[in-house]
Amino acid sequence: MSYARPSPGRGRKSSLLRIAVVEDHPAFRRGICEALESSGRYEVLPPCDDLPEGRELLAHQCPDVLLVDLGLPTGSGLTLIRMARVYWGARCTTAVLSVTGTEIKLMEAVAAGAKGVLFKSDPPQDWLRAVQMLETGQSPLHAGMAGAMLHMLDAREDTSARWRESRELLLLVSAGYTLAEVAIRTGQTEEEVGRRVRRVYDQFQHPVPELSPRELELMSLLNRGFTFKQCAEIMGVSESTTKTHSSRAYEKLGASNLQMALYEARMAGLIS
Amino acid sequence: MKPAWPVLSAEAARRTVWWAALLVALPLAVFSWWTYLQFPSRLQQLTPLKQVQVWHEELGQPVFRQDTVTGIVRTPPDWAAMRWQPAALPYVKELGASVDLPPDAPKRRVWLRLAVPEQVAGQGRLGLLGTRVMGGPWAIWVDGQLQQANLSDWRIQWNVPLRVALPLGAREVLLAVPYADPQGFAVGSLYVGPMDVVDTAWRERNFLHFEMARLMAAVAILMMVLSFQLALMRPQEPVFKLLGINGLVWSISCMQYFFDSTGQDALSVWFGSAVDSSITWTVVMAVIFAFEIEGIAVPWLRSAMVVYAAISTMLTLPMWDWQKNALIAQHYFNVAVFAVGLGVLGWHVLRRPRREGVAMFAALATQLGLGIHTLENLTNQRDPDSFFSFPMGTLVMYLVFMYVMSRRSVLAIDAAGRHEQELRARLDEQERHLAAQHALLQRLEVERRLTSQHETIMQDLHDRLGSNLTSALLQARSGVLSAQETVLLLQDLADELRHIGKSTAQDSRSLNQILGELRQRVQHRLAHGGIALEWDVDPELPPMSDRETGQHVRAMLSEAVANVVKHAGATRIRLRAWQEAGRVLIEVSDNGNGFDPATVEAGRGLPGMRQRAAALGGELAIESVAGQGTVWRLLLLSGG
Repeated sequence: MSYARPSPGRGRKSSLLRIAVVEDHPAFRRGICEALESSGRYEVLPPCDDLPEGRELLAHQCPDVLLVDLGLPTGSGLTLIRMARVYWGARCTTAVLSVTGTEIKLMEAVAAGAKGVLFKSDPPQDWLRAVQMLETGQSPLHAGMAGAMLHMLDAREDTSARWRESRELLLLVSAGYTLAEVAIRTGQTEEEVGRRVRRVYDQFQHPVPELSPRELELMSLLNRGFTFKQCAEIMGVSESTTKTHSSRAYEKLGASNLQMALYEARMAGLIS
Repeated sequence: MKPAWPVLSAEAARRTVWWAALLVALPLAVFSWWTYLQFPSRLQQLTPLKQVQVWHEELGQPVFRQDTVTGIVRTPPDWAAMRWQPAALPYVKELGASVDLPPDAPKRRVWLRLAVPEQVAGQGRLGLLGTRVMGGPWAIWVDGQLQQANLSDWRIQWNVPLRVALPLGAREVLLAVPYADPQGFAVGSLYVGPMDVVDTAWRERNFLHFEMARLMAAVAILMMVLSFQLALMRPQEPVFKLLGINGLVWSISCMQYFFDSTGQDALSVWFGSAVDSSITWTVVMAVIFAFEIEGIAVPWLRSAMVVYAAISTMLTLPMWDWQKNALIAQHYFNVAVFAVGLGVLGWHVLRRPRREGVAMFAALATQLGLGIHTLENLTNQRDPDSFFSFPMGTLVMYLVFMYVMSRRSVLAIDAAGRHEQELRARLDEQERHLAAQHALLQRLEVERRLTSQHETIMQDLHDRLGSNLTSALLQARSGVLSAQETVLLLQDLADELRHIGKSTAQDSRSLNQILGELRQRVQHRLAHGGIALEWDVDPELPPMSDRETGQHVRAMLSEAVANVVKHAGATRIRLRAWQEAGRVLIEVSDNGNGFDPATVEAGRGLPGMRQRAAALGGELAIESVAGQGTVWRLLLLSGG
């Protein structure tokens, strides 16, 4: 019995890319699902309308692209973004569904691991284009967010080649150029530009504590209320080993006791 | 922090001090009473010599110097010429009233014949004790032989009791004292007894004559050091200087208890002059100090006293050859001056009695009394057995002065404490006031910002959504909207919504950001209208100086693009923005119909645009030729 990462292959029906949508607005949810399915390239997983469903989905399946609304009825979609990152890592690419696009919120999502933003008011072909970019290792970017990223980048004291490359790209995008125009101006293919944008997103992503499978298993058992002795029995190790695992996990989570560690792990989406 | 001792109230602390003082004072008092008052003086174990016989020997007119005096003392008298007269002890010839004393005044030697009483025989070695001898160096003769003379410290013998060991079996003892006739002499009570008792009785007497005066001198030096230290630290306060000078001059006077100038005649005379003048200064300084403490404003009296002290010091210098009598006269003048000062102080204290004033008056009066006592009994040689009491008076004065000073300091500290408390209270009050005002200002500021934010958002909603909504509604009502157009209108509204409120969130946006935002807003619209957008923007345009500028630019650009979409019938629109010689140029050009600016301006929002351009301090140029498109150009000063 394992409480760690589930197998990603379970329930896979076809070779189509699998898209998960977590969105509480029914009309929009229907609209985007239809748009995605009608393209014939994607398999849309059963849509979720709130956090618990989203968690349940992520715990068992690895979507290739996860589209999340941040303002869900029972909490922030950020949790799901973090959870997807912890559970499935780079195999699952996450993007945010947004109406107004307040940059502060969006940058939080980027820090949590989101790789793009889809505006709900954009026409469906824009959504499809964005999803296509996401699943091919690229990222969409619009002027407002590029401006916000530029602002944060300028605050960093960095002059590396990567920093200059990012800055040049963000300057152009924030000045209103589309990625296609940027490609022409810089003499690259659109795909190259899209990948560069993805790298810019990566730069703003905060690291998550990387627990080993044993540590993760222990934390989720402790989260269910088991004592260390019970955990040791379940995991088939000695109690002192579980203590060692837990102290290592505390250290990685930056916590000094069990309560703090469980809180941090929950916030990072490691446990639910 | 927890104090190491329990904190006492002021009252309890005072009680504790009193009890502690009592615990020390009581055993001391019992001890003193037991040792000094209950035990009889050693003097009473000696036999007093009440009746003596005297003879005055004529010496001619020699000058008294160490060498001549030595000769006189060691020369035996003409034994045959002795004519004895009965006399009682103490035997004195008072100081003459004459101030003038020539060095060759007639000199005499007084001889006292003492019979050793029968009852002291058989008690071993006998000794002679004299309370005080004033005049030239004394000499003791027994059986026609000089036994002992006081040539080594006769200059201060008036303050050292006489003590001589008698040869065994001595029956008749002669005591000789040379003197100048106008100055006279004094021989105090004489006692005979066993030598050990004489020794201890001498120590007893010497304590009163000498040791006590030395102790008082130490007090004066201590006070002087303390006062000068304070005077250095607070030079603006004259009381410390006055007290320090007082201690200094009294210390000079007290040098007579530490140094003996016998054998150095010139030094001895000058030393005597310094000692006596210093007493004058002590008195004057004490009175001025009391005036200063009590705040008695009598500048003329003060000056007069200082002038008096200076003149009397000058007049009694040995160079005038007035010698001892002038000094004595000086002391009588001192008494007069002291009395005047004391009178003024007393008058003041009577009118405004304060604890310090009363204490000082009492102390100074005591000192004056003791000074007169000393002057009347000892200085004029009337009562050689008397006690030299003036130093005691000075001690009392100093103790009172110290009490006054410490009380003054304590009161000053108390006042400073009260003042500080008052200031602190006032400061606290002001701080509370300031904090309240600060809170009020903050609240007002928050309210102001909320209001202005609210207004901005409302303005945005009105400007951006309101007009679009209204026109959509009107068009929908009139039924002219196709499904396509409805989508377009709603798309516009949704796009606008994305940007509402951002202008408040970020106050200073760069021109690039404004342009980027503009593109996002209009791209759907243009795409829908089949108009190709060509974007040619310098990505590093300068930031806008303020929010209003950004809003004006945004509004003007929106209007310009809207005009193209609505009226131009263009298939291509080009937006250019670049920097040139410190200016920023934004150009919107199209390939549409064009128009005659002179005729159609009013209908296309152009007056409003010109107003905005003027408000920015920029220039707006519109070039259009019918059928060849329009160029709309805005020129802004960089950073403006």
